[in-house]
Amino acid sequence: MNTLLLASSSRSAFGRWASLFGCVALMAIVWLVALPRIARMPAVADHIQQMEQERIEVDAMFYTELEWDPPTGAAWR
Amino acid sequence: MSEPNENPPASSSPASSSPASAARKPGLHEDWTAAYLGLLILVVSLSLALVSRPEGTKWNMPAAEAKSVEWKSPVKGWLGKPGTWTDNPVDSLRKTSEQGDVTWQWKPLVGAFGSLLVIGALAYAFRADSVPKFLIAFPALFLLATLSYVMAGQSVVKNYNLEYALWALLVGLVIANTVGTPKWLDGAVSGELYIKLGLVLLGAEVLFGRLLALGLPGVCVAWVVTPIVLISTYVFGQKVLKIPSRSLNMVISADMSVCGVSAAIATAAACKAKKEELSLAVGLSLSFTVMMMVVMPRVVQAMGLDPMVGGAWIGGTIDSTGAVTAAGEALGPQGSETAVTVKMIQNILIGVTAFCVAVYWTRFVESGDSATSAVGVSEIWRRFPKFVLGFLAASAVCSAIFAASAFGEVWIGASTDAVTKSLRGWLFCLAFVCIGLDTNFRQLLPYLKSGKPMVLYVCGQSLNILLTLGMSYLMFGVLKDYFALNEYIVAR
Repeated sequence: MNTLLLASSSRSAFGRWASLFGCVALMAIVWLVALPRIARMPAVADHIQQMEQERIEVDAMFYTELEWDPPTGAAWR
Repeated sequence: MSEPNENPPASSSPASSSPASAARKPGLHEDWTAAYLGLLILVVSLSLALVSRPEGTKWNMPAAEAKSVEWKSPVKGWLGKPGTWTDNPVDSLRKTSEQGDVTWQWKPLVGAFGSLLVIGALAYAFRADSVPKFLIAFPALFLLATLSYVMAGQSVVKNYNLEYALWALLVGLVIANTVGTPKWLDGAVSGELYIKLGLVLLGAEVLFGRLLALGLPGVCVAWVVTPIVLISTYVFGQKVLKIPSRSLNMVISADMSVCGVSAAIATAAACKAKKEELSLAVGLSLSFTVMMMVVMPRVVQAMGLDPMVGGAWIGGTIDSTGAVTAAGEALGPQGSETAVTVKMIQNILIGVTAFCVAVYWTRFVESGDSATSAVGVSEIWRRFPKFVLGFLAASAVCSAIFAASAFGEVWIGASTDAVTKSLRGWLFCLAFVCIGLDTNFRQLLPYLKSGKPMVLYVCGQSLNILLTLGMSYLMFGVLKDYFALNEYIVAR
C-alpha cells in the first residue's frame, strides 16, 4: 500500500483525478456503448439468445451455480 | 519463496500471510477465523434449512419422493447478486414480468450487504482488528463489489464467460493506480480473509458423492489426467522454463488443469501465492477460456468425434464450468451432459488439490530446496494453512449428509442454494476488489515482460488437450459399450 501511495503522490492531485476520470469514461464507453452494440451483432445475438433460452449460466464458476440437476451416479453403485 | 524479480515491490505480499508472521498479532489467526466463522455460517445455513423442511419429509424417505420435494430455506431470495442487462445497467437491479410489471430486486442485495457486514464485523472482532473502521469502510467496498457484479452482468460479458473476478480486479486496480486507495477504505480491505472464508464455504459444495456420477470413465478423465497434467506442468515450469516463482507456477498449473478461477483461488491460498500472481493466473485462464469455448466445439465437429467423446474432452480441458456448459451445448444433449458431468467431477478435485498443495508447500517448498532433513510434525502443523482444515471439514460434513440419504441430498441443496453459494460469490468478489486496491500495475510488469507464464499455460494446456483427448477416446469411445454409457446418458 505504501508503494501505491508513493506512486500516486508523485503525480499532482489534478493528474490523479484526471486519470481516474479518464478510466471511468473509457469503461463507461465500453459498457454503455460498445458492448450493447456488440450484443446486437447477429452472431453474438444468436449466441446470447441460445444461452438464455437454454438457461445456461455461462459465467458459472462452480457446478452448483448451474441450473442443472447433476446425475447421482446411482447406476454405477 | 522465490521472487519474480530481484527487487520485488515493497508492497508485494503473499495472498496468504504466513502463520509465523501473523502469530505476533493479538486475537485469532486469520486462518482459524476463516475456519471457525465459515463453519458457523454453514451450521446456521443448514439449521435454517432444516427448520423449514416441508411437511412429511423424513430422513429415510425414498429417493424418488425426495426428488419431487420443493424445499426452500426461509432465507431463500434474501441473498443474491445483480442480474443480467444489455443496454441499461439499471436493468440488473429490476425484473420485468411478461405483463410488463417492473419489480425492484433490492432484497437480495440488502440481505447480502447485511449478512456480509455482520460476518465481516465478527471476523474483525475475532482477529482483534478495528471493527468501527471496518464498519465505516465496508459499505464503500460493497458498492465496488456490486459495480463489479453489474459489469459482469452485461449480456455479452456474461455469455462469453468473462467472470466477475476480472472486473472486480479492474475496479480495484483503477482506483489504486489513479487516485490511490483512500486510507479510510483500508479498514475493510482484507482480501486474504475474504478468500479464505469464501473457500471454507466452497467446501460445502465439494460433495464427494458426485465423484461417481459417470462411473470409472468420468473418474479416469477428471481424476487421472488432471493430476498428471498439473504435476507435469509444474515440473516443466520449474525445470525447463525455470519460472522463478514456484507459487505462480503452481497456481497457473492448477487453474489450467483443474477448473479455472476457483482452483486458482484455492491453490493460491494453499501455497501462499502473491496477490498479483493470482491476478495473472485468473487473467490468463479467462482469456484462454473464451477462445476455447468458441473453438473447441467446432474442432470436435470438424474431427467428427462421437458427442460423448467430444463432451468428455471439452469437460476435461476448458477451465471454467460455465464455459464447458456453453461449449457442450453445441454437441447436443449427450455431449452436453457428458461435458458438464466431467467438469463437475473435476470441480470436486479442488479440495484434494488444495490439501495436497498445502502439504507439499509446508513440507518441501517452505523448507527450501536444500532441506533434506526431516521437518518435524509440529513444524509442518505450524506452517500449514489452517483454513484448509475448515474447507475439508465443510466438505466432509456436507458430503456425509449428502451421501447418507435422499433427504440429506435435498437438505444440502436447499442450504447451498439459499446461503453458502451466494455468500461465497460475494466474498470472492470482495477479495478481488481488495486485491486490485492493493496492487500496483508495476508489480504485474515483471511477470508480463518475461512471457513465461503465457508459455507455461500454452504448453500445459496443449498437454492437457492431448492427454484428455486420448483418455476420452478410450473411456467414452472404445470402452463405451463396456461401460454401457450410451444407455446411462440417454436414460437421464
